[in-house]
Amino acid sequence: MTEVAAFVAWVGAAVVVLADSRRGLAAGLATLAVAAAAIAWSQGEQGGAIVLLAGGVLGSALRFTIGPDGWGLMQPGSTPRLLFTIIAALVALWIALAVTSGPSAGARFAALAVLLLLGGRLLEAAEPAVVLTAMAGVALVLGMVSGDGIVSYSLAALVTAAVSAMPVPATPRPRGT
Amino acid sequence: MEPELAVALPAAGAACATALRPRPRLALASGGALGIAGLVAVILSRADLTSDQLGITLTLSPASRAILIAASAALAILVALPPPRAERSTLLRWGLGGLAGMTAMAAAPTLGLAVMILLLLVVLQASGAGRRDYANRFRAPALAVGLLALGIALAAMQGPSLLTRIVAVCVVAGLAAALGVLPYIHEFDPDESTATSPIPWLAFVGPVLAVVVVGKAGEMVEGAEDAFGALLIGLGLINIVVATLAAWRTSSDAEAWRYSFIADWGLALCGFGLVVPDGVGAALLVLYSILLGRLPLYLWSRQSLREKAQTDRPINFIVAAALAGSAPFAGFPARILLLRAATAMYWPLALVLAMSFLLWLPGSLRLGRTIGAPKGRQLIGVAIALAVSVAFGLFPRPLLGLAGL
Repeated sequence: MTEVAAFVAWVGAAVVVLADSRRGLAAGLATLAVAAAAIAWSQGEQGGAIVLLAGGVLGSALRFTIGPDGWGLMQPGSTPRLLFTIIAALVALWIALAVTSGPSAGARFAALAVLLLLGGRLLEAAEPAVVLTAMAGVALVLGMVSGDGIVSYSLAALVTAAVSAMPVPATPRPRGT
Repeated sequence: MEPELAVALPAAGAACATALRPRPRLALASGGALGIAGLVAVILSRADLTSDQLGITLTLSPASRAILIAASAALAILVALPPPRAERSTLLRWGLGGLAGMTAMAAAPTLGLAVMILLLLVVLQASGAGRRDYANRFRAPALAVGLLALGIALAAMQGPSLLTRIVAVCVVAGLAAALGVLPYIHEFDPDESTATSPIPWLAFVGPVLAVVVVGKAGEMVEGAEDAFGALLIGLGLINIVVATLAAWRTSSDAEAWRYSFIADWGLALCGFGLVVPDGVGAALLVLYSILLGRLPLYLWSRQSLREKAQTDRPINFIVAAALAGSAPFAGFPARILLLRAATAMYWPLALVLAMSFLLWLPGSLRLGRTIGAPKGRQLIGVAIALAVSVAFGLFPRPLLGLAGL
């Protein structure tokens, strides 16, 4: 189950990387929340999984209502981002399987892949809705890795929802025609 | 008193000040009352007292409690004697919001929880109406959150010893990015309001964040403590040399002030990297002097920075001496402790540090002139900041005792 959830987490983060509008971003965040909850469940944290899923879904619903219209998936010029999703996954896979050891390689892969993808997105993005969605995703991963039991899952869920609820300031439009 | 109250009271104060924004006096009164109650709660939250009412063990370490008290005092001074054109209730609103987050970070049992609170602070600060692009305001602090999260994720994995060194790199790089020191200097607009500018990261939230990160990173970098310390010292030296020269040579006076904060951070990072009590004590004294000296002086100099007024009165030279860390001001015992710690660890480092201290002089003389000819409230504020600095310089022991050293 963890391996499937790890793959789903990568898919969710990749959608956040490839989307520029609210529907695509919301879909990516929801997918990531489902995967994070599944990983928490597989580690015996059923309560944490439910809380994380609730926070992620709420965050995703809020993102669905705030931000630029449409899906904005793989718009022209997004090829470098597509390549980035694949390269980040390969690097994360190598670190999770070959460099590190211990139980649950899937959870290790998920944490690394999502942090690499969303970290890259944070550095590259200019649109506030994208930046906030990436931050919400980072909060979900922090909930998974910080290891304080239900408290870290609850705080991660709260932070995810709060970040997604933040109003998006209007992006300044270029002057002229 | 429970640490929960130390978080909840300033948070409630910030919420009241925000809700009552249309009525500034009421906002100031309610926010001020709750803020003072929050400060009392921090003072009464003894370092050995833990609380687990929320299902986690909350406790304030002596060092973070001491820096929180200094940050609260800095906010109180600034609200009581606000810089020209600054509204008291706005200062209080931002300050209490920051204090609530800082106290929560300090009380959090693990770095993971502290980073989640940092993430929330980053988003809240970026939501303010600043002059820079949203993404530019967000980028460096968000990178800090990402790097710290990566460090936490890697620390939870088993692997070769190199992995622990990479964790140390992530933690130090994340701290540097959050503070806005080299090599991750935040974009700076001299005309931007201070609350939404990078200055709060350098001079208000930063000191508590550094104490929390360095304090909680210990178990994450177990086995690579030397590498962690060396990284902090190396980064500190780079910041000292580059920022002192930049504060002297840069064309903008406001930029010079920003670089002077970064130079002070260089000292603090060296102190934290030296690990021995004298080094940590030096770092804490530098953080006290940033919070209660350099930050208020910068805010009170902003009006004369706008007017490009520079004067060469005695007060300007006294301010320059305080900023340069000369005796009897607070920076002096910090430098002495740092030299003592460096001599105990590796004497050539003390030689390099001693020479680098001279680099503070030209930049500080320049900054001293930018304070202009303070009058009225501003003069009282400058006098208080200088008096506090002299008191810390002459009697540093009680401050170090407050921080458990």
